[in-house]
Amino acid sequence: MTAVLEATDLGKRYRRKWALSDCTLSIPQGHVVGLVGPNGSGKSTLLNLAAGLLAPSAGRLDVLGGTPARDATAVGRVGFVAQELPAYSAFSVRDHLRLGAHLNPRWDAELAKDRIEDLGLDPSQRAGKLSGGQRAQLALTLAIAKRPELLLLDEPVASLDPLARREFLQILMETVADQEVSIVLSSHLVSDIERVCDYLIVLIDSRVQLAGDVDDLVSSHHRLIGSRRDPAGYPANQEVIDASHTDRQSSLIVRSHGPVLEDAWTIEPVSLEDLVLAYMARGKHPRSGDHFDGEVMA
Amino acid sequence: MIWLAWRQFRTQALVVAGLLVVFATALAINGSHLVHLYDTTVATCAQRNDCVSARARFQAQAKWHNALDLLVLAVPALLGAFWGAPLVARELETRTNLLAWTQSVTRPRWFLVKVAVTGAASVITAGLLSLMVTWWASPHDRLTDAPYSVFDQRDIVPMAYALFAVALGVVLGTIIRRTVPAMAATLAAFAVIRIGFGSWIRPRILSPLHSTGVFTLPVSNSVVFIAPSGVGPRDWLLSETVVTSTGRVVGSYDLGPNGAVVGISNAFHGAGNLNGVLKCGNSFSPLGQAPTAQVQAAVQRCVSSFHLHTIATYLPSSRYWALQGSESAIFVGGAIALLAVGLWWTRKRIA
Amino acid sequence: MIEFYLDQKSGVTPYLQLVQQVRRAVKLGLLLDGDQLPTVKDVVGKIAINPNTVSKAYRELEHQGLVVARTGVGTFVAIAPSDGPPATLRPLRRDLERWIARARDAGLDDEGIEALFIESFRDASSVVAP
Repeated sequence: MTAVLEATDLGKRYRRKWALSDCTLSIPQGHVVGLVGPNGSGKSTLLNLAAGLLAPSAGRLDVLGGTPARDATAVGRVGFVAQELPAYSAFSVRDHLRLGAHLNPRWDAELAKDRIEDLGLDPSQRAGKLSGGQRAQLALTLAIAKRPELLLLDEPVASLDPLARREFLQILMETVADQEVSIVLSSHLVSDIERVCDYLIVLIDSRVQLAGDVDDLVSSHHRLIGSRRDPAGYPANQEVIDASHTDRQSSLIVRSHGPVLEDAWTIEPVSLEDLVLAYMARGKHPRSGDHFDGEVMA
Repeated sequence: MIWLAWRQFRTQALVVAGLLVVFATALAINGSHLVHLYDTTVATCAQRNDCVSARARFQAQAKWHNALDLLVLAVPALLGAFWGAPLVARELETRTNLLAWTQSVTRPRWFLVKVAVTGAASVITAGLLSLMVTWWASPHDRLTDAPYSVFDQRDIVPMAYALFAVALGVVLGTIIRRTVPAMAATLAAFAVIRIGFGSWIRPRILSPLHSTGVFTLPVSNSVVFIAPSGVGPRDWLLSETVVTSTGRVVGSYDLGPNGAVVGISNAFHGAGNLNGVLKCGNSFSPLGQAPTAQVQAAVQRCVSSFHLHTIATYLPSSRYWALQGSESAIFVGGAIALLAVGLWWTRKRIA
Repeated sequence: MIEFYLDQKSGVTPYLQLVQQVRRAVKLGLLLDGDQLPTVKDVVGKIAINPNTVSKAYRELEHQGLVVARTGVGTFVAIAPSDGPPATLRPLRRDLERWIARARDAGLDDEGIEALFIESFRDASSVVAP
């Protein structure tokens, strides 16, 4: 299976600070990939690198088999919706569609027109007067109608109200059902990611902490609940991602490298959200990963 | 991409086109009136022997010429600031570059097409303006008969200035990334470059001619004015040096394009010889009185005893068009160099 | 046509939720043999979930023998008559609907009807239970 994005030790530095480092990923095609992580963890940087808007400071990045944005065709195969949802405020909606038609050889004018009609957008309305949700839908329409093979979205729903968010995701999923397109979507709302993504990448502190198929990840992680104990008492073949304790009980989120053999533990599944939170907590306190009911034990 | 560049530029282009039409109309009316006046009064003044008054009356009628000269001077700077500086900077500010750069067009193409559309429009605007003002001013220019004195504001150089200003604006906008500071920087930088160029580089573009002559001191005590020898009012006197018969330099003036003194060498202030020469004028001619023929002859006899010569460095009027072409070529070359920098910066440096 | 929904808090994985909803609908007679299930695109257009989830659910239902996928046409409910709702369900339902109509005529509002039913059901169940 070809990879839509292949990164090897990819890094990006601004002056002294590394916004992204040691990033090695191989994203298979045909998935809706969720990119999660706290603010400043490098999600935007990775997406901008993939769109060819930034150049790597270290390592190598191949998108759809080549350097991003190396020529007009390559730019045409990748769609990008930036966080700012940029639009020419003096241009009307119709002007934006004309922009898409003139700049993109693979522009699907009918799809664009239908989308705008279905959304109930007034074609003569200036983009500066659109609401946040409408601008997001316009940006999405522009990205979809160019029929990309890979669509990158940088926190597109972050500034939208719940209804607008839901409508955006509905359109996005319809597009996936309709076209052969791979999607990489970044968000800090794990519940949205849980809904729509079947592949997950967790970025914390500019590094990749976790990457894989959602079903695989969920089935390979468990929550183990048992009586209160120290790390010495943890099961041997389980990688403890996060542990929390009350005075009686210990609850571990583990990545299983084998079956849990001890009877002392109750095994429960972990939701994707709790899984991501566990990795985020580990990323925050990399040395211990232990905390006492929310507090950190040194 | 051409569609996008034009669509972004459309409103401004139409406004300026409208202004040009209004401007052309006003100038056409006023200009033909002036042509008629010139043909009927100044051109025939010799027959009626009223040249001085005819010319004075004409000058009074052609009262727009200062404002128009100023306009032609200012327009390239304004084009650079209003059309050049925001070209890239505004897109970076509003982040619309993120939209444009992800729409199947590469950054170089985006940059070059935008620059081409804006640059072409600027050159055309400046060219039309220069054409109209040159036409309007032609009777007046015939009267003053000093082509180098209005060099910046006529013929083809304004087009080259406009292209350069736009290129300058684009590059500054690309580097500074914010529209208003880029506009201010463009105006300032362009002004400095133009003034500096006119003062220091323009006199050195073409090789000047030299002419020598006997130094004659006109009998005017208040100012030491040296009448250039062999150099007419239509030529551009670049500098004049007074030398003794042995070739020792007594003093020299550097003159700017309009005949204004821009440099005086120190020799004048301490030259024993020239003080002596000055005495020639001072001792024979009391202040305020027009010298008689006798006095003039005495002054000349006194001066010639010093055996002084003048060497004038000048650009004859026949070289006017060569200079226009050369200066235009330099500014166009500068524009291209700037755009190359801007292109490189856009590709490599913008995160 | 069936209208799907997703309960993110239920702890049941999404595709299984869809499977359960179809099974329940069939059991209640809301989906009959030959009824078409909404297309993947329609489902994700209403509830924003990954199309693969819907495909997976439909495949599972096909594996369970409840539906049949006809390429180019759609996915259809395919149940043997014995899998359908028991014949007793329909007359029971009719009786219930008649009773509800009578309760309304008697002046009960929705809350009253519900309360009356639940109380009677509880009383009846406690009699039946050992």
